[in-house]
Amino acid sequence: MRSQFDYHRPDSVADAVRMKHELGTDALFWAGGTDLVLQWKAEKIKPLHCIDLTAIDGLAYIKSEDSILRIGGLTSLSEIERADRQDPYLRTLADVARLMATQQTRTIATIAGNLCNASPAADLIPPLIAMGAYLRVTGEEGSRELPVEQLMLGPGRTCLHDSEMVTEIYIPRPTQARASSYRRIDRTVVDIALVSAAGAITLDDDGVVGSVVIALGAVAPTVIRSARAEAMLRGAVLSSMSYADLQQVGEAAADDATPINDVRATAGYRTAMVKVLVRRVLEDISRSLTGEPE
Amino acid sequence: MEMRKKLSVVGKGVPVKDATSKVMGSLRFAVDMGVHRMAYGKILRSPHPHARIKAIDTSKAEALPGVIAILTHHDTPRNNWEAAWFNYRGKVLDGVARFVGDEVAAVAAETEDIARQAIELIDISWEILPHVFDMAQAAKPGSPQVREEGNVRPPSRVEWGDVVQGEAESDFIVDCDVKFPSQQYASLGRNACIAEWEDDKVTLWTSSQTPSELKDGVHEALGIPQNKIRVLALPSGSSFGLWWSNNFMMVTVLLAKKAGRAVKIELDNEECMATVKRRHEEHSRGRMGCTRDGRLTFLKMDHMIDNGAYGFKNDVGYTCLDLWSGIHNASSQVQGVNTNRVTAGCFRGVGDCTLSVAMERMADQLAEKAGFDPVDFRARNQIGQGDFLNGLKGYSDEVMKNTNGDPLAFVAPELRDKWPELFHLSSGSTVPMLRDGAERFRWGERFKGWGKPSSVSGAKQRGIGVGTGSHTCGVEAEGNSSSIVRLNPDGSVKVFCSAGRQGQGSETTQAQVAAEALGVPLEIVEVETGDTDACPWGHGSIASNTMYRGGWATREAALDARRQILELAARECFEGMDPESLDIVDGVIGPKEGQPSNRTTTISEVLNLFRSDALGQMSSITGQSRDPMPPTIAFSRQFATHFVEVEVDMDTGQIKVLDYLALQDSGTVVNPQVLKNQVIGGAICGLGFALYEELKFSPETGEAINANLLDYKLLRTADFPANAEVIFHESYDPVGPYGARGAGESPIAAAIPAVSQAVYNATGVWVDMPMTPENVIRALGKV
Amino acid sequence: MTKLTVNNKTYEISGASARTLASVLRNDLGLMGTKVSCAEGECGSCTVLLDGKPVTSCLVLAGQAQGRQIETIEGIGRAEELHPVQQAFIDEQGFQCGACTPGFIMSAKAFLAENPNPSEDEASIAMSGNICRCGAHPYIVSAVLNAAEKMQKGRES
Repeated sequence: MRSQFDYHRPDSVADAVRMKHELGTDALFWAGGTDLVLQWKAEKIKPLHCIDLTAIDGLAYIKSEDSILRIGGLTSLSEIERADRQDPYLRTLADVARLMATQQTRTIATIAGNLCNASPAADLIPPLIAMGAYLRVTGEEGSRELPVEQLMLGPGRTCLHDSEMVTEIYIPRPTQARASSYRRIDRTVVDIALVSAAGAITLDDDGVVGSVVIALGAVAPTVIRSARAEAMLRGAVLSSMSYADLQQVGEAAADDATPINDVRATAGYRTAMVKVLVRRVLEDISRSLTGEPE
Repeated sequence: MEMRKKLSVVGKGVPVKDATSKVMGSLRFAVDMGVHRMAYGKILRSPHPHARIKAIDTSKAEALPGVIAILTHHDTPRNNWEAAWFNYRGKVLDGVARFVGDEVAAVAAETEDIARQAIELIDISWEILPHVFDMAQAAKPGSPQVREEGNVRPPSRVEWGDVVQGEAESDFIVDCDVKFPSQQYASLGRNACIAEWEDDKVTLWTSSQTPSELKDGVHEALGIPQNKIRVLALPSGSSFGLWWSNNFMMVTVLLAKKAGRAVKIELDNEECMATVKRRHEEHSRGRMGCTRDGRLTFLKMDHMIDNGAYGFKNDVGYTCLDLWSGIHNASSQVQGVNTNRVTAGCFRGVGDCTLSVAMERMADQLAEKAGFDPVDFRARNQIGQGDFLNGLKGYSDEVMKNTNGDPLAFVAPELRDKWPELFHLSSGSTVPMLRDGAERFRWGERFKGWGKPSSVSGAKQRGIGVGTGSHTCGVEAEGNSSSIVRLNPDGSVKVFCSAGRQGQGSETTQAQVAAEALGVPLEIVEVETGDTDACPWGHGSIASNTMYRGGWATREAALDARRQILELAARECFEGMDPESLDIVDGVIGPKEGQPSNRTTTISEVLNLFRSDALGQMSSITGQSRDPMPPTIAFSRQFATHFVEVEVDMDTGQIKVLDYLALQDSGTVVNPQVLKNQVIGGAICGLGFALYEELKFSPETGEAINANLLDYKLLRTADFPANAEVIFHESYDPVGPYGARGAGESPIAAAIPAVSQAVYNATGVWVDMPMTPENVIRALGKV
Repeated sequence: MTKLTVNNKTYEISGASARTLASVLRNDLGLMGTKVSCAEGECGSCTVLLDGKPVTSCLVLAGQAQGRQIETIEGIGRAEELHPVQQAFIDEQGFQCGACTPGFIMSAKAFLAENPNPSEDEASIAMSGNICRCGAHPYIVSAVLNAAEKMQKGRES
């Protein structure tokens, strides 16, 4: 039977962190709570305390600064959906948010919540990794920063210590032209990602790939980077890569994937789709960087 | 035949009677209901696919404060009960669990939470029995037996002509071996049952499409006389055959008796999707042939359906054998087999969504081999008015034998004379719809040949498809529907007819029929469909029965009420005029055109004329359908023809539906807006079955593993073209009310083959259902 | 004590914060118009508005809804004077069984507040957060467009 829990509503980060530290693992930080309510109803988690973070002011914002983009941890997915109006650099994240769950869920679900839920299929994690994003977390021991890439340890598990909460996600702006893209496989218009791929590439002045990140979702216990695909791309002239070349990068990425069979798809299908999605991500990026129409 | 006068109410797209309550959220479903001081019940369900209770200890549960009563198999009757159409046969509780989720015991408590806690405190010692999940396996001798009658029902067969001869005459032959997934109703709105006893009488509130059959079921399950059972059937969500009589309702009745208080058992969504009912998994193995000039020669079909644990069907309701009337030789067999999985039963369209789809695929493959266009091939092989209904061959032989060649012997003479010729299609056809639809859809321009996309753009390939579907318009075999129409002293009218309210507009369309027959405004007619104390026996909303057979009875009852009131009015208000010279128009009684006297009166005036009369004349009129509707399965069919365009991503297998045209022939359209909704609703449900929907089962336990809406995918608004069009072909029915007949099920039947063919044309491969992106990619050989 | 403002009325309910908003609306406040079907945030039947934005109340804890304006189907119109969105759904018959209807209407109301003059595509995408199992999809989209027109006329007059 599902657990009965006490509801707490701190109005500051300090209070929230202290509460969590005192109540320990029987307590959960509750942001939008859209994933947590489902897990609680399904008896996958049995919290005795819920620490509702949504009364804490000042954690929902999108700040476009010169060298950095900051997104408050409690920024809702629907606010991120609108983010491209504020800053075109956020277009990829806005497009991704639009794919997630339903309008209603996006109203209250938060970026921090999506990250800390740590599903390998989480839509925001691959693009944030591709864009080189960082987390700022605050816990009983103080605040620290870490790359988003280090967050997930496994399905539903993060590297955060017990009393730590994510207060901000920030993305340093690239110094050179960079384009990113996110693609996923879904069934109906509302769905979870069956497989996903994100990429971000910066080009040197002569069109050579400088930095590159290829991140894959739902094909491993965590969101992973494809070292093989990245190695093939580094130093290549993106605009002169043919369809077959890009397919090969896709195949290399598929070699790094270790998907499972589950109720949504088989490992075989997922592997085949990694190839397709990575190629399409690269085509998107290429078009973006050369200014070609879609 | 009656005169076709100009209609004033039938044919109008009036808003449904419960429109305001639907948009205000005030329409009450069973889950929204409660009664004073009721207790809350929860069902303990089996964790095993097949097991017997060796011992059950309820002492800890009983000791929990707030627990009122516990029901176990020691408390329940020893007889089987059956739901309509063999959708369930079993004992309420019998100490044996036959699928994971099967009802085992139940607890009534002061709150739902206490009941939930209590069921976890019931200790059971189980004897694990061998189980079987696969129907082919279950059909073999030596397989674990799911039920005492054995797993295998005797097959139902239809045969005519000589298939050996037919095969010999064929220039082209194709085989098919297609499996159809188990579709889940995934009905929104869930359900609950509230039962309350008063002495030895019980009242039940629940959402059900079949109020009369539910009352029959309670009587059969529990041995209570029918006059001590009152069912108040409430509107349901999108039921499609789910909420008829379900075992949890019987559990509720018995639990309430034991508790000595009203009990409400409310099912959560997972229970609704995993433990009640589903469409059978089906397997069609067939063979079909045609001549060089595109004439079908023979059909062989071996079709198996999985009944789950408690289904008891040996047939799956299909009329496609009639539809493809060009088949002169056939041998078709359907067999039902039990497995240790959740019960399976009738789902909208039944065999016309499965076996029929296998036939459409074989017909398409033959058409391709013989070089015929899909529209043409159907037009030359499908049934027209007056043609013999092949699928009834064995049935017709039996009926003629049993009735000494006169099946209408007991039917009233006036009806006999106008009754259509049995065993021949009385009206309707797909052929005009095929031609009309092809033109509207610009088929000639867009069709590029079999298996050839109509356009290619990068990885995206588009294709179009056409599909046809048919179904019965109600069936008489389970019992005949009756209606009552009451004229109240204030002139207002109430219709009583046992039917479902699952969005198909019965509370409105039955009122339209009655209003038309009486000659009164629709505003003064209301309909009661769910109270079995008020409504006479009716077949409920099954097999597309409601308008055709239910509506016929309503019309007869309204005409009877009309006769009675006009007789009274003629005698008392029109100086003994012949009642035939009077008419009711817009609620006003007066002489027909050309008759003497310009006096008028109203129904309420006539009825109130007698209220103070010491001689005590009638103050209310009760009209009844006195003659049962004669057999109609022997000649009436509904038809649908659908056209669809899809776009397939050849790299990922994702399919988008771009364009949709649905044509429907169900005779006169009583309410166009209601019927458009039914047609599109059927199309969307069919597309779901074809593209996304599949209830998946654990290979270890047989339990449904995607009994939720995240992983059981349903089409959303953006998954279906908003400009989809519906065109009606109203071939007047000779006996249906105002020429109307059934419509609920042929649309889903047409949608499935239409989209399958479109995908074939877009990709060059036939993909089995559901055509999920993965299944498409696998069919393309890309994994 | 959980303090909730629903349809401009304030309620104090004990022991409600750790329960879902849907459950509190239905069982404590008797507001049965908010329907619960899937109870997992997929179907949208339980959609209510929080400060004008749509949420699936089966996923929201009542405690989280404190201090916000909660609007349910009961609050948007009366039988004598339906909200234009409600009337539009009747005009276009954007429903069959009615189980999903209040949820769609609330989603549509919120959508039109943000996008008062949507295209057919925009309306269709916006309504995709709700499921209609009966399949009234095209008529739901027409209802949204019909409502947009009604509300536009209402503003102009």
